[in-house]
Formats: sequence, C-alpha cells, structure tokens
Amino acid sequence: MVKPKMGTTRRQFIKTGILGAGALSIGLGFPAIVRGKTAPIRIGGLMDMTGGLWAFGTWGHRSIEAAVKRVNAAGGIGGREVTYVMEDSATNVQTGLRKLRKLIEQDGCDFIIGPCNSGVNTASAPVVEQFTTPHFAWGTALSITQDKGNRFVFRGINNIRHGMVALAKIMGSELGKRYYCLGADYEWGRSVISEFRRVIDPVGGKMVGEEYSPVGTEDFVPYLNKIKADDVDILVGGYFTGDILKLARQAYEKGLLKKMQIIGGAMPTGIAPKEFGPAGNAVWFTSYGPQRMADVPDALKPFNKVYRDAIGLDAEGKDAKTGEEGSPSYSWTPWEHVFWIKRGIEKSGWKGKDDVGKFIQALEGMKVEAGDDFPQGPKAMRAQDHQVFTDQYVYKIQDNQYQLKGIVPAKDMDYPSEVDYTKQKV
Amino acid sequence: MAELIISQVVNGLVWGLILALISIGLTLIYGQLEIVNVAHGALYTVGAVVAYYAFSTFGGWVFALVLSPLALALLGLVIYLTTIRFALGKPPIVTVIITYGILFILEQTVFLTYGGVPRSIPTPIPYNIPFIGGDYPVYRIFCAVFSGLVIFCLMAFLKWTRYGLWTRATKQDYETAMNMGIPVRRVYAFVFCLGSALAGLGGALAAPISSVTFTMGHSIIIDAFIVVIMAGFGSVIGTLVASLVIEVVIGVSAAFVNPVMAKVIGMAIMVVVLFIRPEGLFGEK
Repeated sequence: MVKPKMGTTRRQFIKTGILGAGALSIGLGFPAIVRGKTAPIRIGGLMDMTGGLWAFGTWGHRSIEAAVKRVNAAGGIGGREVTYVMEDSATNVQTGLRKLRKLIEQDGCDFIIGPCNSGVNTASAPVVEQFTTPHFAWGTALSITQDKGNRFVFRGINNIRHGMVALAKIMGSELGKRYYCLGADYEWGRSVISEFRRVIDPVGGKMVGEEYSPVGTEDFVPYLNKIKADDVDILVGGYFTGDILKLARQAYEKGLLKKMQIIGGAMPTGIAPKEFGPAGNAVWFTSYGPQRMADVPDALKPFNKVYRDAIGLDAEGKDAKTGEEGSPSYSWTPWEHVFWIKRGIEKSGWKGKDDVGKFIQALEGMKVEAGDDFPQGPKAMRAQDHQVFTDQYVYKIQDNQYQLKGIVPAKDMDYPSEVDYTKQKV
Repeated sequence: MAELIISQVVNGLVWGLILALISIGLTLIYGQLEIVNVAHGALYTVGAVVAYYAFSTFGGWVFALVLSPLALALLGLVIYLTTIRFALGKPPIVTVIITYGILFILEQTVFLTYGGVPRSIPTPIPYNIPFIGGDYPVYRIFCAVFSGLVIFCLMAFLKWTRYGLWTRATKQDYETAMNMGIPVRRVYAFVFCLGSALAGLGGALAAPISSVTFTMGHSIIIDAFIVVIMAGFGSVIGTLVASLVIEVVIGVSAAFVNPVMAKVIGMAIMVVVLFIRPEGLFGEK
C-alpha cells in the first residue's frame, strides 16, 4: 500500500521558506538600496504659469526644463537621473499651497523650486518645513529669507533690499529726497516700500505719502490725485508687470512725470519698453540680471550664451522663436537653482529624505564660481539666512529700450542677517 | 482738502460712467434672461483685445470703437445660440456654472492667442486740461461723455423703439408677450448680444486707460456685480446711479483712508443697501 502524499515535506518546506525569505528581502530590503542608487531625483517646479506673473512662470519653467536636460545629458547627479514635475501656482497663494502639497505628497518631489510670487513663497515655508523638503524660493520679498523663512528655505536670487540699495547707488543725485510710495497690498509690494525707506530715510529722505492698493487695480487716479507734482521727486511703485505699466501711464497722463521719476521694484517681465510710451522715460527699475547680452560683463558672456541658447532666449532678451519679450532678469534663477541642488547633493552625498540635514548643511555658506551652471555670476549662499549675494543691475527706459545704467557688486550690498537658521534643528 | 475731494468726485463720476456702461450689459442680461453672466468680465477683456488688434491693424481709434462692440455682439450671438438658450429657465446656479465655463474658455482663448503679456494702446486723445492744481486727461472726459451718451441712447431705445417695447414686455411677462406675437426667443438673443456689445465697448474704452491683458476682466466684474446687486438686477437707471455712487464713494474715501479700506467702504455700502432694501435700490420686490 502506498502512503498517500501528505502535503509538503520538511525538505520542501525549508527550500520554499528560504526562497520566500529571499524573495521578500529582495522585495523589501534590497530594493531600498537599489532604489537609492537608481531611482530618479525628483524636482518639483511650482511656477506661476497663469495669472499676473504668467511671464515669470513660463520662463522659469523653461529654465528648469533646460537645466534638468543638461544635467541628465551629463549623466545625472551621482549617476541618478533627475526628473522634473511642474505645477501651476496660478499667481495665487491658495492654489500655490495646494499644488505644493501635491508636488511633495503625491509626486514625491525631493526638492521644490519657485514660484516667483512672494506671497506663495512665505506661505510655503511652514509646509516645506513640515515635510522636510528643501525649497528654493524665487520671490524677492525680504522676509522670505528673514523672519518668514526657515532652515528648509534657500533663495538663489538677491532680494528687494539689494534692489533698493543698488537703485539708490546708481541713481545718485537723480534720486531726490521727497518720495511718495504706492504699492500692491501684499508681501512683495510692502517689501519694496519698506526697503526703499530703509535706504533713503537715513540720508534725509522725506516720505510725502504712502498707499497700498489691491493687486490688479485698474484706475490709479484716485491715489495719484493725492500727489502734488511739485512736492514729490520720486514715486516708488511697488507693483509688477501690468500694474506698474498702468501706474506709469496714468501718472504720465495726469501730468505728474514732468519732473518726477518712478522707480519700480522689478523689471516689468514680458513687457516691451515701448508699451510704456512717453511715460517710460521717467521709469527706473532694479533688475536681478542683465536684460540684453550687451549688458552682460565680458567675463560672463560665454556662460550667459550657453544658458540663453538652452532656454531659447536671444541676445536682446526676447524669445528666440516668437520675438516676444522674455524674462532675462529673473529666469536665470530657476536654472541656477537646479545646479544649487546638484552641488548640494554632490557635496553632502544626499541619497534621500534621511540626508536632508546633510544637504542643507552642505549648502550653508557654499560659494560658487561663474560658469555654465551659474551664468549670472559668482555668488555665495549665506549660512545664517540662506540668502544669495550677487551683483545687482539697474535699468532705465530710454528711447523705447531698457538701458543699463549700472551694476552694483554684491560686496557693496551686504547687510547683517536678523536670523540664524543654522541654530534650527533639521 | 476741498480740491482733493472735488478731484475724487470728478474722477469717480468719470469712472462710474464707464463702469455703468459695462454693468448695464450685465443687468440687462439678468433682467431679461435671468442668466447670471459670470463671463461678462471675459467679454470685456475680449472687447479690449479686439480694440487692440483693430487699433494695431487700422491705426485709428475709431475703428477700435466701432469694431469692438460689433465683434462682441457677434460673439454674444454665438454664445447665445450654442449655450445660453439651453440654460434659459434653469436655476441660477446652473447659469453660473455654464457662464463660468464660458469665462474659462474665453479667457484661455485670449491667453493662447493674444498671449499673457500686458500691452497698451496709446491714449487716443493725448491732451490734458488744467484741473484744480493739476492736470486731467481729456480722454477720460471723452470716455465719460461717450458712455453717458450710449447709456442715454440705450434708455431711449428701450423706451421708444419697437424692439425696446418688446424687450420691456418680455421682461414683464414673457408668456403674455409670446401670446401677443412678440418673438421672445429673438428678443432674448438680441438682449444677450446687446449686453455683450456693451461689455466689448467698455473694454475698448478702458483699454487705453488700463493695459490690455487676459486677466483685466477680473477686477471689473467684481465691481460690476457690486453695482448690479446694489441697484437691483434688471434696472438700467438703478445701475447707472449705483455705479456713480459707488465710484464717487470709493474715490472720496480714498482721500481719507487707504485704497483697500476705500474698497471695503464701497462694499459696506452695498451691504447696508441690501439690509435696508434686499431687492436693491431700484429692484422690484
């Protein structure tokens, strides 16, 4: 009589058990290591693709795409491919925060870049801290790397404090002493005004008036009515793109710009100077980078060309295909942010979330030289506030062109940090 | 201070007349079709964009002023025939959703064709007149006078023409109007085209003052709704009065408080009016 087969033998059980344990360890344990080596590094771009800062977002997106392509073509970072996921923050704080969470939680982004909207940047700071995700902010309100920032926030562009110091230095005697402030009623608009006051008040500046209006104001005349042309030398415009255009044109139509000059807190990205019409001749801008190739210092020209060619920006600062005005004064920043991430990973040996602390420490105080990766010029990331210090440009509209009036070197715009993020735990 | 207040009142009246022109289109459409047209701001934007292209192509401001309302009337007809007529008689929320979709389509179409960059149209009348210690642009005065004339003609049209009579009759009781042989559907289409044309005309007039951008309808539509709600939906004269009151109040308030607070005061007036007269200043109970 043959004994019926009773299930699994001891030998089979052991064999199956070993195989199962092996498979399980490959499935759970090994892949974590394997993943650490081969899984892509994910960069999330939070860009204002729609809304008032549309032009900034579009060019920022192009810059990140081109930079990521360049990094991958050179073998990625530490042999790992870099992938880029973009979300539209729509120039809106609520939308921006929602998309930021999506980039971190759903898309699993390791690093975040942008957007240009200072309001979104300041609101993002607690979120990136909560998720321990390094964020490379692109807005220029001072507070982003002061009281409203934290150890997870870095900024690879000067801020409005540099901008106003540079304007005052270049304008010199043309600056005048009596000034009237009009700004957009949000983080950046208020930052422009307060930084201008910080520069001019200690040297005898006299504020004649101060107003903040909603973003997107159509009619500035009720506010311009309060200004007497003979009492004011400078109208400080804390507005961007379309709003500064409206302000300048309406001030001109009111006859205020016969002697008075306007200073703007940022280049009117995407707007051709001719759109300002005759009002343009009274408008000065602080700029975070060179508008035209001719304005680029000779030593930086080869690097700037590489970057411009990569993102499709011509020598005049226009879209090489369409001829539309580009965003040369800003769009280098997201490009360089990708390379800040690369340098940080390479220096720290970052592999994943567990190494965020090492990554942050690696960037604190890092200095970079000008090159294809940093076409705007050499710069240093100050350890205490994670703020970059680099050269600042000043422009004025003349003869329907943005004319470079001067470049202020980074060393002339130093200021003490009011915060020290290095004391914060990661 | 007196000089400043007078300046603010004058500018409030000027801007109020432009706003009235835009808001009357909105109130006509609601009063007649009971459609809450959220896309009205986008029609204003399209009007400004058409004005920009008309000016760039033909070089004369008059072309822009003529072509914009005509193009917008045509666009209004297309929108009516393809969507709005199917929304007639539906609850207000349905009309809001439908017109929000139209808003999105129009705005994105402008974004994809015209682009996102703000552009400007040179002031058609580049002169200023001396005005209490400062200058005031003649073009703004032209806009106010022109808007006032258009509103006057519109009211005359509604009162004394056959189509105007049909429009009023349809508004009062569309079933009786239909029984009397009035082509109610045609009247509806006509009113929607007229409202769209007024938005377009407003956009064309405002384009040289403001800058032409795909988002320019955002702030104006909020102001227009405030005005229309305060006036009472459907009232042309009420909309005119409310526009002037709101803009003058905001302007005068801006002489004393910051611009944001001035806007809040404008909104507060609307709230107070609605507390006292929920149907609006000139609305019917």
